[in-house]
Amino acid sequence: MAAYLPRFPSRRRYTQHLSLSDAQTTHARQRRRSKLTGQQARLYAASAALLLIAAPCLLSLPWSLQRYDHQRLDDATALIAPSLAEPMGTDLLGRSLLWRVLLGGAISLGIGMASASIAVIIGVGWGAVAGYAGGRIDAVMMRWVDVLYGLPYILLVVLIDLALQPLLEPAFASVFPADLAPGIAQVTTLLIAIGGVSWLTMARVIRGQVLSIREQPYIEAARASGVGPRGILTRHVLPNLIGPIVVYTTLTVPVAILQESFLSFLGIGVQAPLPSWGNLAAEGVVELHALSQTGSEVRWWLIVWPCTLLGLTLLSLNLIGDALRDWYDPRAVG
Amino acid sequence: MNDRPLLKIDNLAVSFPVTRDATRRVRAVNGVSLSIFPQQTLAVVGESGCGKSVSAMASLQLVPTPPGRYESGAIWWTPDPAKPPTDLLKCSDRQMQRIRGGQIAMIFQEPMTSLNPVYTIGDQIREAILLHQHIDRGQATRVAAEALAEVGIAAPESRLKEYPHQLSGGMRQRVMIAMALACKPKLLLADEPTTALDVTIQAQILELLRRIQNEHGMSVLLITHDLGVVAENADAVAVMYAGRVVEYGSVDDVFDNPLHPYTRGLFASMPILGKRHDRLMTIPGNVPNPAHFPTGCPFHPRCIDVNDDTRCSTDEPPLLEVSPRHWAACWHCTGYDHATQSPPSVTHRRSHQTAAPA
Repeated sequence: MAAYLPRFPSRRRYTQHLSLSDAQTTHARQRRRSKLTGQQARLYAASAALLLIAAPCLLSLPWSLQRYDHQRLDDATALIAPSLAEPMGTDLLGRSLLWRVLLGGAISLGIGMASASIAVIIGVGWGAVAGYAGGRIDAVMMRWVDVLYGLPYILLVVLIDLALQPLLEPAFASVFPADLAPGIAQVTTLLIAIGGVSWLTMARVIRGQVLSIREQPYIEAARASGVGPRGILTRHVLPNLIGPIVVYTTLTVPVAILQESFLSFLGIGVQAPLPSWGNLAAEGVVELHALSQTGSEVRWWLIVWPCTLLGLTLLSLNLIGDALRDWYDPRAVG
Repeated sequence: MNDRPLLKIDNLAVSFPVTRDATRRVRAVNGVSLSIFPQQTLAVVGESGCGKSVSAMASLQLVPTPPGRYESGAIWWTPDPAKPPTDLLKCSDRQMQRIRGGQIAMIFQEPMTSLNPVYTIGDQIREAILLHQHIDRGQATRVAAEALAEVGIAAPESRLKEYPHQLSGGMRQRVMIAMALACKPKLLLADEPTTALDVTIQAQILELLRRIQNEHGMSVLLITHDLGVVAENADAVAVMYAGRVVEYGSVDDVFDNPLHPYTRGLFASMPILGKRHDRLMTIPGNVPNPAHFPTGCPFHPRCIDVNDDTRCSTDEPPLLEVSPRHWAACWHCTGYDHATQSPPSVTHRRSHQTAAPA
């Protein structure tokens, strides 16, 4: 017996193996508990960061919508540095940057979240149906995705924008107050256009995952117990994809926000005087030239506020996605 | 006991494409006829790829079509002897969904991967119950807990909240059985239910299946390649080779008097407990590639009984009743010359007392 003992790392380990069932279950329970707290900590921290940025932006909408374009055209109020009276400073036209950044955040976040949701709904639906149906339906649906991939997305956004704008503007004019209607119509068109072109990657990823999951034995077992095709897709295939869906959603939100700012920069997206973090940063980016010129004053607040908030938002979105992925995967222990 | 078979597979043939453009197809199952009677256990034995699983999957229309295709045959299902049988191959998807799990349940070889990893055990058993019974979730949870208790799982209420990865292989197979039995099916298709488990768990699972079968009076189609399992559990045996049934009879007839050289080869290649072997006997050669089946008897290239008989390599022997209630498909087996053609069906059921005690 003694000759065998050194093979085991310790006697204690050996006895643990002997009482496998009990040891295993309590062990699993312990690991599960510690996993939850660790994940909760990360999830809560990132959510709190996002909330700290998003909540003021959204809650201040009633005030920021009235003050974002309050111009004071005299030298005394234009381009003043952050102070107690103007916490974020003012811009070239004497507008308070605080209100512009708050409204810009609401617009950017709104466009990012809404167009990511649109992209996820279309992409998951399209990819799941194509992957599960297979055969000819799959081929036709995925070639359609390939064709859309081939077209430059800016062109598509512009086309969708141009097609939707004349439809939405009169429709919104009857619902919203006259001074807000054009802005709301503009933002809505933009988020539909961005969402409408961002679902392609999602569809490809989901289709690939569905192809591999539908061959799993538990799918066959589910079919053998009488689950119909729709039940298999929604109750057995998609819940296994929550990881990739969450991860790609959190990747799509920042991409959508960046696309929005890019389009705004080109003059297709959110147009002045409406602010977004994208076009605020674009206005502020000229201050970088001042850095290289000695003697000229750098108006840092024009670029630091929108960029910092944008960066923090994107970071916390990524952390939330990460934590959610682990959270939804019961196999990821520890 | 009535003499109407519960399930009667009649001349079933299923083919799959060999080439990408599907110009050539092979028949994984070629003219299989079987019958299962109420409360009977029919064992289907054979090597990998001989069409055992495909026959069972076809009974639930689970063979993926395409690429698979049902070439011929019918599968007659008679849940109620007073009513005419239905052909399962002609049922619509909707009808099949009611039969799957409700009337015919299936358990699979891989207990490790046959449970959806993202749902708890309770969710999965409950889903199977709610699909076929009109009860609310609370009642379904109670039925699920009862089903778990019945398959010998301790503390079923707390197990219901666990995920598949928290259970061992034997436990998972018990859960699969509980899921299959929760709706009280009339027939259980058990596709190598114990292959992935170790021997002691294997014995427990088979004992469990036997007990539940006696209590519920259901029939079992037991697919296996373990002859020991067959001897312990089956009432009737069908030996399959290359998509055909080559021998069929009651477990006593087949084990005491194997007629087909393939069956004899299978028995000869089994070790006998207590007897010294230098080397086990083997059947020479391999299972033929389904894409290039030999002409004539599919077994003849490997058969040790072929004495330059040209008939074996040119004509395929049909499955004939060689002696009463015992069918075989071999030109050379004793009594084949005056055998009669009859649909293979063995109503024999062993008395429960002969089953090995727990």
